[in-house]
Amino acid sequence: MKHVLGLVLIGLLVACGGTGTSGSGGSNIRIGSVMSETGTIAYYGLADLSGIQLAVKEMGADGGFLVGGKRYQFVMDQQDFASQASQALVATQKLIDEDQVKFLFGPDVTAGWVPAWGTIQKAGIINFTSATPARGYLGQATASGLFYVLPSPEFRTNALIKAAVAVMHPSTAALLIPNDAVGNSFKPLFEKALQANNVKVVYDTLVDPAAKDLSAPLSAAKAAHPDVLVGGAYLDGTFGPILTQAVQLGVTKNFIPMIGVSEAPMKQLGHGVDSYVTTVSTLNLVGPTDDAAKTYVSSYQKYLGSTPDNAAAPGVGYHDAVWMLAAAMSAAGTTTDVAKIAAAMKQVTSYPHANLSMTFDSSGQVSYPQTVSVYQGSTGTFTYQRA
Amino acid sequence: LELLAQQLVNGLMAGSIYALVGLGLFLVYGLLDILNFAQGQLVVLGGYLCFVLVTVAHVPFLLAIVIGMIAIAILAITLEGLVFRPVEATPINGLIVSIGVIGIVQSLLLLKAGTTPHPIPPLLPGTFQFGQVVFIDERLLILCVSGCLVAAFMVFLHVGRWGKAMRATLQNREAAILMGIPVRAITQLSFGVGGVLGAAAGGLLGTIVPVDPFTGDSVLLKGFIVLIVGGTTSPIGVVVASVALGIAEALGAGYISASAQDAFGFLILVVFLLVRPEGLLAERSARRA
Repeated sequence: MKHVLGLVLIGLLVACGGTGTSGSGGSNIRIGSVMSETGTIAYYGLADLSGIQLAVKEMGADGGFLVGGKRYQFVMDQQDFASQASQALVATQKLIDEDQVKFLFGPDVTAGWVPAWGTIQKAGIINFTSATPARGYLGQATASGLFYVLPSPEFRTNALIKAAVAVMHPSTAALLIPNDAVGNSFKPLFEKALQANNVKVVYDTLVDPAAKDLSAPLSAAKAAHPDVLVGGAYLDGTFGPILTQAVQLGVTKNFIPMIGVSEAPMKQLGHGVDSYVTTVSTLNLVGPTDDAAKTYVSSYQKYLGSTPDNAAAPGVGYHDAVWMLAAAMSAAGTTTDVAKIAAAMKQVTSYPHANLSMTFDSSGQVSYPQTVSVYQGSTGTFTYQRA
Repeated sequence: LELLAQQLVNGLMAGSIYALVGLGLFLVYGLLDILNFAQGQLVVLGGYLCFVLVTVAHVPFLLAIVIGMIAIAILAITLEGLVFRPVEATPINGLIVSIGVIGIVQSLLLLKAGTTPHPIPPLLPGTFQFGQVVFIDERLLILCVSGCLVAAFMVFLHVGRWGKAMRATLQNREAAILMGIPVRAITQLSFGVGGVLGAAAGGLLGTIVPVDPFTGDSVLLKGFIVLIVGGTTSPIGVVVASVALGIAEALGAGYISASAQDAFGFLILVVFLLVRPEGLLAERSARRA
């Protein structure tokens, strides 16, 4: 009798898995995720992963989405590339070759995405990423399924400088840019944005991106009497000591760090600064003031069981991309024709659970209003504005 | 002129840290002919220990530095016994072993502390101005403490039996053995002193540059430069080279290009290797020649 029952149970399990039918009566569509969930860059991977997980859970609670009158849900096939470039390729190959995934989120950072891109491109699947090198492939005929989920550096730089100039009213600036590929790509953007806002660059230098003691170039910058210091570094941990040194040396009291730096260094220093303007990767999730951020935080608490801080903010972009994918499938009327779905993605202007009002242009580049954090020493408070 | 004065102050401070690292390297190289890459990790561990003592155990900063120096000295002596002694007959193996220590320490730190930099709260957060030159109190403290340590090291080396024994062993290990000097104990003592200097450098550096598992990499390179430029047989040469390197870097970064800050050190190194390969203050007929 036990033997028969066992066979029946196995038969039921095989039937459910084999047809891809979910418990609620809809069909499952497998989406893949390759993020660094462990290792040295897990910080980014876990943030991005949380957004995808949240969207999938919301979708489950909503009963899925309709395509051609039939209800579907996403199920996650999640792979950790453990912050190892070689592992990113292995994980991507597994999802594509073994699990037949056609919709892939990540690898989310350069170290993981670059080795995996050849495999992704060859498979002709849809890929969402925030890895900077992906921007170089946008718009190419062989990358029609590639979607970049961060606004362009030009857009973000212009938004940052414009918001900062409105607060600081500077006429001169000192520019300290990390001397690497990312820094060098941002340098002309900063120069152009400052010029467009009538701010003259009175001192500029490239600095060692690993250097945390910049007292020598900061002293040289001070001699040029800038109203504002722009750049420095793009990680909080590296910018923190630079901010401290600049304040101690009396270089200026106004700061615009590179994109990537958060409010944390200013909060840690806590004094000696008149104004400090940074970008927020998506939304401000700590003490949220706008409705979209409030909604995201509340949903995050409900489905993921914890309260997000701004480290989780990059995940909002991936969250919205999941919902956009569902909306594109609905619009295209297919869950399997990748080319049609990719084309529909570029037409989607509204989608459920939207937090960023994202749209993709014909090349696959996303755009949405940039949130800027403004600290003012006179009040000692941070305010947030969409630029 | 103000900028020049400011850069000299900046360079002097950086040089004082390089001296602590360089002297630690000097001791091990002088005794065992091993370029001890693990010295950088002693700096990092000293920084982490100081961070934990100050921010978690709320130990006063200077006491934390002293505890760190003792703890890292013990660790360095242990490393000498466990890792370096078995390979002392073949310096190349010692070099490889010391690189292995870097991998182990960095992996453990990444596992336990991650990549987040850990800043040690400064003891003296203020500044004062002399003309247009800004003196950062914490950096002056670092200069004083490291200056005192270097001076104490020099006194130790030149006064008393143990210092003389250490110098004798540094000059000629075989002759020292024949003279009845306890070379094994001197070697342990040298590793211990190297640990003391490394831990002090890490704790002091951590107040201006947050500590992370890779902090040791760049200071180690600077340490090697001052060791070679100063002369591998001259501790005073190492100190002079350290100050010169710090000032050259500050002036180069301030007046020429900040991105080439490290390059100035290597430029000095290349020039010395071509013009005076035995080092700044070493004699041409040094024992290694």
